[in-house]
Amino acid sequence: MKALIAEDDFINRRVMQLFLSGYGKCDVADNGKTALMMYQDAQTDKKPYSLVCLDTGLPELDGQTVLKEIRRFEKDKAIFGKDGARVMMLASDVRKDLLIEAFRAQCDGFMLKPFRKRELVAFLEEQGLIEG
Amino acid sequence: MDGDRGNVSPGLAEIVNTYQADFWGEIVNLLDQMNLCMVNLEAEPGNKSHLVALCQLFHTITGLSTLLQDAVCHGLSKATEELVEASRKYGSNAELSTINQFIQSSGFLRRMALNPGISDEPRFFGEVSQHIQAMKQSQMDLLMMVRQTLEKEVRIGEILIHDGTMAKNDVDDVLDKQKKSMGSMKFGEILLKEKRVDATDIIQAIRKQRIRSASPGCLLAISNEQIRLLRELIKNLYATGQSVHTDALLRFGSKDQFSARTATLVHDLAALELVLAALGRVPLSLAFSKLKQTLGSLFEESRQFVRIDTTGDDTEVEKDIADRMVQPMAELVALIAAHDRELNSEEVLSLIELAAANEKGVLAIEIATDSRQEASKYIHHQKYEQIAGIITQLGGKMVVDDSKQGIRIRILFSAREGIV
Repeated sequence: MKALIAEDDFINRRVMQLFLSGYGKCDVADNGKTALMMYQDAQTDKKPYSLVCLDTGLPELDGQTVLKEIRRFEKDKAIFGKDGARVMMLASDVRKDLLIEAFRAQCDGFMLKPFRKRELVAFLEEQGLIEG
Repeated sequence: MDGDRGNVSPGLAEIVNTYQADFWGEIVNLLDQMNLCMVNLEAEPGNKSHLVALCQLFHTITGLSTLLQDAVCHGLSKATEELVEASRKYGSNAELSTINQFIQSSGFLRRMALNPGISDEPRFFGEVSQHIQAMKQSQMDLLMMVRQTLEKEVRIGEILIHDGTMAKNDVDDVLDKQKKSMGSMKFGEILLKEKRVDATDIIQAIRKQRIRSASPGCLLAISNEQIRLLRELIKNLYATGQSVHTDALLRFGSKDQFSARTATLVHDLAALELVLAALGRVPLSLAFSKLKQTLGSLFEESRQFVRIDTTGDDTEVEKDIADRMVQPMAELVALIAAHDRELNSEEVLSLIELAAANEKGVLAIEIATDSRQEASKYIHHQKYEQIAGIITQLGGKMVVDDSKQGIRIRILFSAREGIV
């Protein structure tokens, strides 16, 4: 599993990296713009990310916008459904409209920070990214 | 279906509880949009963009149902999403029966959204469960149909990529190589050849390393018990693999790729078990030298003159047997020497030979002396019976053979049952 973590908070980013590095290559980005660029580059190089974790409050481009851009990029490349990356949104606080918007924009999961590793692992298993 | 409700972190679950009605309301909105999609799909069953839109709507509902922690809603929308996805990827046209299943799913979801307690009713639950089963069956039928009709290698590669069996790059590599070499080869033939493990080379390498290192038992920090457990696990996997392979042969025939892959799996597991069996074995030289050390001090104390010659030191035996057989063998040799001393004067030099060999999977260790002792003296000796008991515990047996030339005691160990 190849993962991309987009998180501006250093500690959260490091913790996520520790969680996920056991399952494969794990890249990090501290803002939305870099994350989107890394995602697009990986797709172009035919080494796409299977998981993208996006913080909703990223600087430069927020998580929701990055998610929409990722799905737009996939649509342009005729990548649909499970052939695309699984996107997990990470938020410090939640609002109803934020949740609905994220799922409408085709995110695959939503997690409220802080969360436990087992919750993340359960998500990865459910998405078939790792075996249970 | 009860356990399949998606995963929501506890903090989030607490917050979204207050939004339950809003989420159900949003699902109704999505279902309204879905109606338009289904009408379009019925009008243009071959247009994939309608299926993409439908899939996205079901995906959103699946996500929201995760937040709602509603197992029935989650299971239903997820199963429908998967069927839509399969239709999009593998179906040339959306079948009318499949579109009806989408409509049915939409109907069930609407009933749940408008009447939130309905999923607890056994009748409704039963209807939904049946519907989910029917959709899974449709999905399987679709995949089977595609599998049987697709003869183009590229499409087979697509299925492998979809199933996660192979990465796209690997599939492309195989196809390229295939095109370059033999056009008549089946898909995957090169791949299977490349991935086959030759256990003989590995075993030989391990053996060479042992000889170089001069520390036969200490190459790997892995205990005999761990090796035994690993072998047991592999045996179980092998049995499962065999049964899957048999099923594959029955269902798809021996020329099918799945059958070929399961055959490779079974072959590789057997090879792996051989490697592990080799890791657990050591040459007898170590046991023989321990035995000589033990007896050397004993004979020195009792002022006995005994010469022990060994042959077949390279013969391999499982390490736990090699360790545990030293003491009974030493006692046996001591017993022979003691009898020899009784028959002769103290000054005589007793010659005892230890010879080991592997004979058709049976390890035979022969302890022989040329002194004319009677076999019955051994067989009825209390000490002999004790030693025979220990050998039996180790899984071996002792056979006494007396002849005019002397006495021979053979200890026989059958190799532990392995896969091959």
